Order: sequence, then structure tokens, then C-alpha cells
Amino acid sequence: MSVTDRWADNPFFVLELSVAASRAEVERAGQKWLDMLAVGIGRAAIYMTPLGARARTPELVRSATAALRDPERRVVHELWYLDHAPTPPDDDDVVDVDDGDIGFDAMTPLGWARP
Amino acid sequence: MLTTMTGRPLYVGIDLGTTNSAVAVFDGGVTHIVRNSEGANLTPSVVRVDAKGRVTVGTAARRFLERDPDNTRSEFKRLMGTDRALPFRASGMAMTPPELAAKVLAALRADVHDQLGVLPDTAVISVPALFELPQSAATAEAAALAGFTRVELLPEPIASALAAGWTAEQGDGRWLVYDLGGGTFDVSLLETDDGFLRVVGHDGDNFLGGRDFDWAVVDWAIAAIEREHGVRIRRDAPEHAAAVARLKHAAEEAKVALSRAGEVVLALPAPLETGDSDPFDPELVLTRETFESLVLPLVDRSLAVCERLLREHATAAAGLARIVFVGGPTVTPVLRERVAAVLGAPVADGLDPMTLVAQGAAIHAATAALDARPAGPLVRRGARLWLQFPAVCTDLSPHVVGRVVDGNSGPMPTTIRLQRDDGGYRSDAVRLDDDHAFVVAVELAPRQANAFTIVAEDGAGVTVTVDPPGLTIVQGMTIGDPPLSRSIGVALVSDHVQLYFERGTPLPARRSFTHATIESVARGSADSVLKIPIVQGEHDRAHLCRLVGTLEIPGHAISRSLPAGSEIELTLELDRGGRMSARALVPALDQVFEHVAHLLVPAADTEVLAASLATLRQRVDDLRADAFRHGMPHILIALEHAERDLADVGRDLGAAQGGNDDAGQRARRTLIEIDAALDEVEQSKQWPELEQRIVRTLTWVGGQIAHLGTERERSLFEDVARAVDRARTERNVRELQRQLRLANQLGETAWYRDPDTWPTLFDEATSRVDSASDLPRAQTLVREGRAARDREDMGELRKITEKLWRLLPHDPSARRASYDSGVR
Amino acid sequence: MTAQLVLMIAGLALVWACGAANREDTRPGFFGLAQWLLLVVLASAATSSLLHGDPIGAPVLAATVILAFPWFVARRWLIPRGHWRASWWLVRSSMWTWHDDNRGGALVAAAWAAIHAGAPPRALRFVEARCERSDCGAAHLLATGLVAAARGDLEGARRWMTSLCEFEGPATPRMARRLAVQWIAAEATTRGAWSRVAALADDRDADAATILLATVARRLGGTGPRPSDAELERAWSRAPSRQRLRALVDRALHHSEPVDAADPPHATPLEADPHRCALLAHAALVASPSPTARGLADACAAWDRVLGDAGFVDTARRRAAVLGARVDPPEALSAGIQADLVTLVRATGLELGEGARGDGETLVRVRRALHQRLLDELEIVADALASRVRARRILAMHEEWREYLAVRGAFARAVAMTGPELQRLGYAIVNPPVCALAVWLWNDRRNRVHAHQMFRWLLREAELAEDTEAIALHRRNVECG
Repeated sequence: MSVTDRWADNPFFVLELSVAASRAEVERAGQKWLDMLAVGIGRAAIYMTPLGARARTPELVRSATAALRDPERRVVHELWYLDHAPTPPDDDDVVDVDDGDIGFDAMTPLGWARP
Repeated sequence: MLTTMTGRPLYVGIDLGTTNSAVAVFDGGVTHIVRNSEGANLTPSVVRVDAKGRVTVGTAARRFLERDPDNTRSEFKRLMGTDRALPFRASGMAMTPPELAAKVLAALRADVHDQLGVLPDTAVISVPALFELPQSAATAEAAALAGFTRVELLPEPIASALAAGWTAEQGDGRWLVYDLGGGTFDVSLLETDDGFLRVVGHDGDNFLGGRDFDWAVVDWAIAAIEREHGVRIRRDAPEHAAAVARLKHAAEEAKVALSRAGEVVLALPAPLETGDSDPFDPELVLTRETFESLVLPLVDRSLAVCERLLREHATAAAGLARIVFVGGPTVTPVLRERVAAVLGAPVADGLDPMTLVAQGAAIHAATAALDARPAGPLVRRGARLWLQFPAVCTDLSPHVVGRVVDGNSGPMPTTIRLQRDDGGYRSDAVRLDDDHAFVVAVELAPRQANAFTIVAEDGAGVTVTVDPPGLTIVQGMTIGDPPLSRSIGVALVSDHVQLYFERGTPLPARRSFTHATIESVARGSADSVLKIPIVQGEHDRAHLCRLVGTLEIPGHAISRSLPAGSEIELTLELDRGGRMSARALVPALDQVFEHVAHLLVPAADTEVLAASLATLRQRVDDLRADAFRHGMPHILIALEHAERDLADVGRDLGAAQGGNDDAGQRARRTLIEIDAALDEVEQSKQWPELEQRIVRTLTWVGGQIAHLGTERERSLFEDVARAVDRARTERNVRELQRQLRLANQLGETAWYRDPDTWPTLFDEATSRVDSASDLPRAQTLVREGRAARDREDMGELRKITEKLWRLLPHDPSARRASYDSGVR
Repeated sequence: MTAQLVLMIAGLALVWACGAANREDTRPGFFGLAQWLLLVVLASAATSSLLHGDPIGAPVLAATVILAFPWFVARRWLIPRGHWRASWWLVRSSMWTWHDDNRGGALVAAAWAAIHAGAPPRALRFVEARCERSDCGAAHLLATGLVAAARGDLEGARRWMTSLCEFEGPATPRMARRLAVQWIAAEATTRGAWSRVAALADDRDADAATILLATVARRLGGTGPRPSDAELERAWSRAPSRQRLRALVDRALHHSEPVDAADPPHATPLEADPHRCALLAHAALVASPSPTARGLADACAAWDRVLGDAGFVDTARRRAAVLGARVDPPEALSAGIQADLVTLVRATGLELGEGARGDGETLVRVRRALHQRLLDELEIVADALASRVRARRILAMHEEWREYLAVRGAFARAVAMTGPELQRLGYAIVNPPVCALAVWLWNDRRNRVHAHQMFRWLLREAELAEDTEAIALHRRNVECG
């Protein structure tokens, strides 16, 4: 699992539910998104997370519904739920540390990359 | 005959049982059991092929089971997933378990056609909860052979829970489904919350069933015959097979009769012949008390499984809302009484344990929208809608989603409204969006079929005809997507499992992970193959899980050599029927590999089983000796269990050697379980041993460093001692072993400085010189070493000893238990 | 006339064949001498023809010049135009530049030309197939590195090039090292890895281009003494491709003295709720394109505050009870944090170093888990190598070297991520299998060049790990050759 999946695949984001959602709301949302994806409704294809927009797939919706049905997993997802996006790091905040991209390609002038 | 279909949907559910099978249909409102041509609810899962190759299925075949066992096959469900073909001697034919199961399924399909006039193409088939992928795949194959074009597999306990929940009054709480079939035992803990059904957990014993009750009676009868007639009948002797089969048939009948009578006489279909004596007809009287004493240990074994499940999910038995019994053997009064008494929970009444599973499967077919009616001719009546909605659902306010997919056949609607035909609900008019799609929330009347009419209007408010004009949603208990019965993952080289799908994952499912190869695969090399083993089971160590498939990347199929450390993006996919496919993308080669080999239950080869049994017995003996030596009573208790199981394996192995494949499979499985239990025992005793090793190592190394070490080595040793201490506090075994290795290395460095060390090491190496890989060279070195020792040239002696070491064999490498996995 | 032409073409072919046969094992060699003699004869004959007004002399003279300076011609005209097959063919007869290993040199030319041609798969396969068949000298390593780069595997290419730079002895043509050093410098400059570039200035095979990049690196990265404007201009005036490197030099010239900014700024959100605050810090860290050790330490500290907050723990446990979950929420949360942060460090190669020192519980747990994980992985890689060597399963030298680099790379990564505390433990894991491989290569497979490089690396690492026994052993091994 990539480190960003914890937020990106959080079932509450996938199903667009709040952490207070009841079991019935979970089932209803799961069924709705699956059906909307099945008939190809455009707005169902994307959901928002604190780390940006992500593609919603039937597998993701099924897995999110199953996760919220299971109290053990649901409680953990609730703990990781963040209701709005953190401020993305400002470009100026990124310090020019070793291994930072300088925006100059030194390979091409010396013939090590295709011009 | 059931009433003919009147445009209502037809959902078919099949319980493909070990002993009997049943088929049920659901029309969106009620379930019906389909009777077979003989008017019975149950069709024996028995197939007979006569000398002319004619196939008979069900009751007609069942009659020949004792008379003609060579040409009649039953209980083949237990062999599903194996590659064993069962012979029919008279015709010279052989059939695999899926082919035999297909005959039964085809018979059931024909029964539906006879009763309802529809030959179903789709169905839900139930499988035991503990079925693994090879077994599920074999079931799906059987369905395809029987003519079904689309099937879904549903775990039996969920099917029975659905059927029980469908008919029971609403009531939240946890309940237990106790499912004892002919050959398997499943127990499931379920929970209903606001009418939503959830599988909390399940457990079971793949090799405990009503048939074991029969065998208990047979064993009793064999003992009685030996006692009274002096004739010894052996279950594992092929020449006694006919006698044993007759006894078993009599035992089955006696078991049923004892649920009504206090005692019965075992009615043998024919006199017993053993080859050692004249045919004889023993009169064996079985009382209910004797029968109860025979089966109670088996019932208790099932209760132990129930208690384990309840314990695992922190559920008090007394707090259960009800217990649902499923399976023929559960009609045995002593079983019901014992289970109810031990668990102290009410038993659900009014449910037919023999057909509950089939009914649940039929209900699930509705949820999965598997209408078995053949599609009729397409008649266009207005704008065509593509509708998505749950055919069956628990939610009282589901959504109906739709889209106009063909508006050419008339005016295009702009708004859609749904109104319930009973007049109880009418939705708001919803405007179609830019995709010509709509989402409408509807309200359902509880526990009934809710028919809705779709009202479509154009921009001017004129009604537009749409196709279909309405829809039906049944409100009731559902389970949604079928859940995966056992976890699936990939065995890693470390013998750990990378989990892909957890038990309970709704199907279909797909998941990808990136692995790295640990060895190079040379292009074109025939013996260079990278293996990615796929395993199923709940253990975190790969060798304790069942290998269900291996994805191979062979040297001859790669476009160039694949170096160690290359990435492999592996995707596993399961469809709704539980069929698995795998796909490995190797970015470095830009190639995809999809061939999964070995999707079979491993054959239970009796020689292999005997060898495994001997190894495990030796392991138990070693552990016991060790436990006595170190005074560890808790280990002795654990070993007692293992020994009991080993005795069972011994018996099963005997039966397997006598031709009983099923016993062989059971022995194989039990051996895996014993292996896991012994692993746990070894782990539990590992810590005290490590503690002793810590003391020994640190004392020795400390002594060497104090006498012969440098200042820097002393400081390094202090660091290591601190790290050892920390690892000990955290009980981190691996870290502790690494640090002890480091400490030893420091100690040896110091020790090697001692002039007395090398003569000792040289002597030790000399004592093993017989096992050297190059004996003449080793002998020369020994001579040179002795000379160096005599002239006290320790530098030279050290060089010679080190050369000698290289010629001596390595310790046998650790067991590669991860099915030769080539990935990490 | 025709006979003369045929004779000259045959002479040219013979020149090429002599060049191709002129290898290290035939040095000082008959073939080299024969090649030069033939060239002189051909050049004289062609000149004489020209002087006699015979036009046939012109192409023959041109061909003679091309065959006299094959590497120069290939590098100047064929490689930049992507003529990979022609480059390979021509450099096969190299007399001076690659005479130690003109087969390897030809593959370097082909791989380099392939990069200019847009990395056609056929060309890459052509080079790879020949590299696999070879005894894997330094030039082959360079060619393999270039192929890896052409495929986009820059990390792999870096590994090959770096390993080449450690090669010593006659199997290492000077040009191979020089090109590899230049490639490493250019690639590191593109990444902004200034300390790496600056260090290359002292390499014995650093050419004018490398020296320019190293000077720029010292200026931009603040590594070592700051070069003056004049130094920069001087380095630039000597470098090849001057005009195309001018933008970089200008940037260095306009770069002011670095401000002594001690700590990078962090978006530590001002939140009253410690749980939300920790979530934000965690999300900012994992979403950052270049997470820092300090950011990791801050996130861990934020989580320590949450997990130590009795109110939070109590609320979470009550919520779990309401849902009917048996899991302990603080414990599950802590496990998730640890898993996330370990994955983050491994995925980004974040070096914890001093920035992530501290004794907060979460940070300590992450360090321990990382330490454990890295050692486990190292053991797996080392074990695979050990079992192969034990079973004497031979790979092509090219692949042997790759496996050695993989073990070495895993070790270097582990040490870089967690610091020197892993050096001794890690060395104890990698030393036995790599040593066994080197001994096998040396004794049984007579490949002393590669075995020697392996012993040198083992010695260097043994010294860092302060493993006295291993130092003594590998010192003896290195002294053997």
C-alpha cells in the first residue's frame, strides 16, 4: 500500500459519507455509486480526498462498503478521517536540499540524453 | 407441479451436497423447493454408469451404491479440486469429480425444466464455507459442464442464514448457523443490525460430517461382529470393501430410524462376505443410548469449533439470539439437545434443515440479478432505459439509477418519476442530467415485492413511453456481494504471506502489489524459473497455507534476462464466482505473464503422507524430550493434543492405503494443522532458550574481550550488550539473534588472538576431515597443519585451518518452506 | 583501375580487421603494427593517385582517415546522429582509445548512439545481447549503464556507472572511466545532488566538462570552498559544449551566498485539536514531494501528543465499544502510523540522520521498525546470493555483477536510511555471501578482475564496520591482485 492510500482510499471519501453515517446510509451509498458507475454517469467517476481527486472504481466502492460494514475496520478508518485538505506545501517552503530538482538538464548539453 | 411462471422472475439456487442435493426457486416473493422426478425434495449426489455407458443419477443410482460399488460413485464432492478421476469398471469409463458433479447439476436443471417449463441458464450454487479456490473452481467447472452459462458460488452458511433471515421476524442480534453436512461442518456467527445481515466470522472442520456418525456406527458394528462372530472386518482391506459398504448402508438407515425409535436392528441388504469366512448375517441391535455414546464425541468436536468461534469474536453463547440448524444430520435429536444444552441458546423452529441452503441460494440469485429465464425477443416500446437498482435489498430507501441509452425510437424524456404501484409512494420528478442519466431515491414497503412504474415526461410535460415501463424491488434481508471464504495472498521468500484479499472480501475483487525478484532469471534457460506461489488460508506463514496456484515466469519466455531485484507488479483478480486470475507485469521486460499453473488440491500420496507423519512424530518426540529436560509442562499439554491428532492421521492413512482417497485428504489436512501447532510450540519454547543463549554468549564474549580485546572492541561490545538488552525487553527474536551473532563475532575476533586457539580449532576441523569435499587436499592440509603446530607457527596454522574449513560441508540450509517463492 | 580499386578496398578491410583483432591480449601486438603500416601504405597510395589526377584516391584517403581515428569520427558524427550500428562497427577497430577493450568500446558507441536515436528497442537489445555474452569489462559496464539510462532506469544506470568508477587495472580503459565520471556528474547535476558532483572534481579521470559541473556544484551547493567568478569562467572556457552549458554557469554566477537557514520551514498547522493537528502534519508529510527527516520527526511528535492524550484515548475506545469493535483504537492507530512512516522512508529513500533523532515513542518505534525491515530485506537478498553460490549456479558475468551490485545497493541504502548503527549488523549479513562469490570467481572461474573489485569493496566496508577479522582477511585478498 502506498503511503497516500490511507487517505485516498478512505471509505468515507470513496462513498462521500461522514463518519457519523449509519449502516443503512453506508449500504445505500455503496449501492448508489456502484449503479452510477455501471451506467457510466460521469460525476461518479471521481471523488475528492485531502490529497486531491481520485478515480472511483467499482472495486473501490465494494471494498469501502465492506470496510464500513466491519466495525473493526470502520473504527480505524474513522481515526484516519480528515475532513478537509491540508494546505499543500508552498513551493517556496521546499528547501533546496541535496537531490532536489534544479530544473536544469545537464545531460542533454553533454550528449547523454536525446536533444 | 408448481404454478407456471406468469412473467415473474425465476431465480434458481442449488445446494450441491456431499450426500444429497436440492434445488430451489425464488420468484421475488417466496421460495419453492423443486421436487425431482420421484417427487422428493432431495436428490442423492450419486452417479452410476452401467456397462453400456448409461448414466443414472440420484435415487435410482443410490440403490446400486451397495450392490455395485465399482460402478456407482458418491461423496465425490469431497474430492472436488483434486485431479483424481474415479473409474467405472463395467464401462471402462472414468470421471473427474467436476464431471460427476455436473451430472447431478444437470439432473437438477432438468427437474426445474420439468416442473416449471424453463431450462435455467443461470444459478447460484452453494459451497462449503471452507472451500478453497481449487474446490470452488471445480464447482464452477461442473456448472459449466451441466449447461449453466453463468453461476455464482455462495458459502453455505450465508445461504442458510439468508433463508432463515428471510422467513424469520426481524430482530437484531447475533445468531449461529450450525451446518453439519454429510462431509463437512461449518459454523457461522452472523449479526443482524437494522435488518442488515453481516457475517461476523466462521469456522469449521472440512472433514467432520454426518458420514462420520455412520462410520462410528460401522466401527461399533465391526467390533460387535468380531466379539460375537470372531470375524475381523478391516475398513482398510480392499477384500472387505463390500462388507463395509453394507454395514455403512445399514448404519445410515439405523441412524434415521433411531430419531424415532429407542432401538433398531441393523438391516443388512445382503449377508456379509469377507473372503475369510462363509457369508453370514449378523443381528446387530443398536440402542439409542449406544448410538448417542458413539456420536457424542463427534458432536462435542463440533461444539469445540463453535466455542472457538464464539471466543474469537468475544460473544457469549448464552447471548445468542438463536441457533439455526442446517444439514440432514442435524435432525438427530441427541445432536440438537446437546448443542442447545451446551450453548444455552434458543433453536430456530420451522426451518427445513435439508433445503434451507438451496432456498438461501435462490434468494441470493435475486440479489445477484441472475434471472434464469431465457431472454425474450427484443420489442422496442419507446425510449430505452438502462436501469440499475437492487433486485432485492434490505434498505428501505434505495436508489434507482438510470440512463436513456436509445432515444431514437421516440421523443426524449427530460424528467423521470417513480411511483409505487400500491400507491404508497411517489418520487419527485428528477431532471435528466447532461449524460441523460438520473438518480431517484425510492421508498419500499417492508418485506414484500415493490413494483414501480416509471413516469417519464418530455420538456412540455407530455408523458413519454419508456422501456422498461417499470421495475420491481423486493425488500428483505440480503448479503450484497458474495464474500470470499478464505484469505488469499502470495507466498514470499521469507515464508510470510503478502495478503491480497482478506476473508470476507466482497467479490468481485482486484488488488495489485509490487514485489521484487530475489534471483536472476536467465533468458533461454530451461531450469531458470521465477515462481510466484499463490496461497489460501488464514496463517501468516506461507507453508501452513494451501498452495492454490503458481504463476511462473520461465527463462524461455522472457525477452531478456531478468536481474535480481527487478520489480513485478502482480495483480490478483477474483470474479463473483470466486474464480481467480493473476497477471504479472514486469516493467523491466515490458512483458505480461498470466499463466497460473497448479490450481489443484495436491494429491494425497500415501507414501508422502507416511513420511510426513514419521517426521512429525519425530518432531513431537524431540519436543517432548526437550520439554522434560527443561521442565516446561505447558508444552507437554500442547504435545498431547498433537499426539492425539497424529493417531487420527495414522488411522486415516491406513484407510487411504486401503483406497479411501477422502481419508487421505483428511490426513493431509490434519498434518498441516499439526505442523502449525508444532510451530507454535517451538516458538513458545524459543524464548527461554534464547534467554539462556544470551547469558552464555555475553558471558563468553565479555570474558574474551576483557582478556584479549582492544579498547575499541570493548566499547563496541558495550554497544552490542545494550542492543541485546533492548531486543530482550522488546522480545524481538530476530534482532536478538542478529545482535548475538555480532557479539559472537567480536568474541571470536578476540579469541583468535589467543595463541592457544588455533590448535584447538585445527583439531576440531581435523576431526571432521572425513566429510571434506576434496579428501586428498584436506589430508595434505592436515599434514601441513600438524607440522605448523609442531613448529608453533600459529599464523600458518590459522591459514591452514581456514583452508580446511572451506573444504568442510556447510550446515544444511534452512528449509525452504515458501513453495520456492522467488519474490519478496 | 578496377584492380586498383579492389586492392584498396581489400586494404581498407584488412585495416579494419587488424583493428578489430587488436586487443589487450595481443598487445603490444602484431595487429596494431600491421594496421598502422597498412594505413600508411593506403594513405600514400591514395595521395599518389590524387596527385596523378585519379579521383579514386579521394574516397580511399577519406576512408583511411576515418579508420585511423574511429572513436573521434564516431563520437563527433555518428553518435550524435544516432547511427548506432555504424558507430558499433567503426569503433570495433579502435586503435588507441579502446585498444584494451575495443569490443566494449564499440558497445559504448552503439549504446550512446542509441540514446540519440531515441532508444529503439532493437538497438538496446543488440547492445544487451552482446554485453551478456561478454566477460563484462569496464566498457561493458558503461554500455549497460547507458542502456539502463535509455530505458529510463536512472537508478540502475547510476549503480552501473558508480561500480565502473571503482574498477582499476588494465581491464579499465581510461575512456570508459572518463565517460562514466562525466555521466555521473551530469546526472547528479540534473538532480541537484551537489555534494556528489563536487566530489567528482578530484577524480583522476575528471574531464573538463566534469570539472565545470563540479565547480558549479561548489558554488550552488555550498560544498567546499566557494569558487570565484573567474574560476567559473575559466572552467567554462575549457569545457566542451560551452554554449549549451552557459545557462548553468550564469545561474551559478548569479547565485548569492546561501543564507544560514538552520531548519527548513514546516507547515505545522495551528490546530487546537491534537488529533486533527497530527493528521494534518502526517498528510502534509506524505503528500510532500521531498519529505524531510525533520518533517518526519514533527509528525511523530504530533502523534505522541495524540496518543498520550487521555481524553482522545477514552473517546476512541468508547466509539469502538459503540460500534462493537474489539480493536483497541490507539493501538491500531499507532500501528498504522508506524506502517505509513516506514513505507514513506523506504519509498523516498529519506535519510533519517540527525534530523530525526529524538526519543519520542512514535519516532523510536519507526526507527526500530525501519531498522528491522531493512535488515530483513538485506538478509533475503544476501541469502539468495549465498544459496546460489553454494549451489554453484553460474550466471553470465554481466548478471553476476548485477547481483553483486544489488546486494551492495541494498546495504548502502539501509545504511544511508538509518545511519551507521546498521553498518556492523548489515556488514555481518553481506560479507559472507559476497566474499563467497568473490572467492568462487577468483578460484574456480578465473575472473580476477571482478573478484578483486569485490574484495576491495568488502575491505572498505569492513573498515567502516570496524570488523577486525574481516579487515585482515580482505586485506590479504586485495593484496593477491
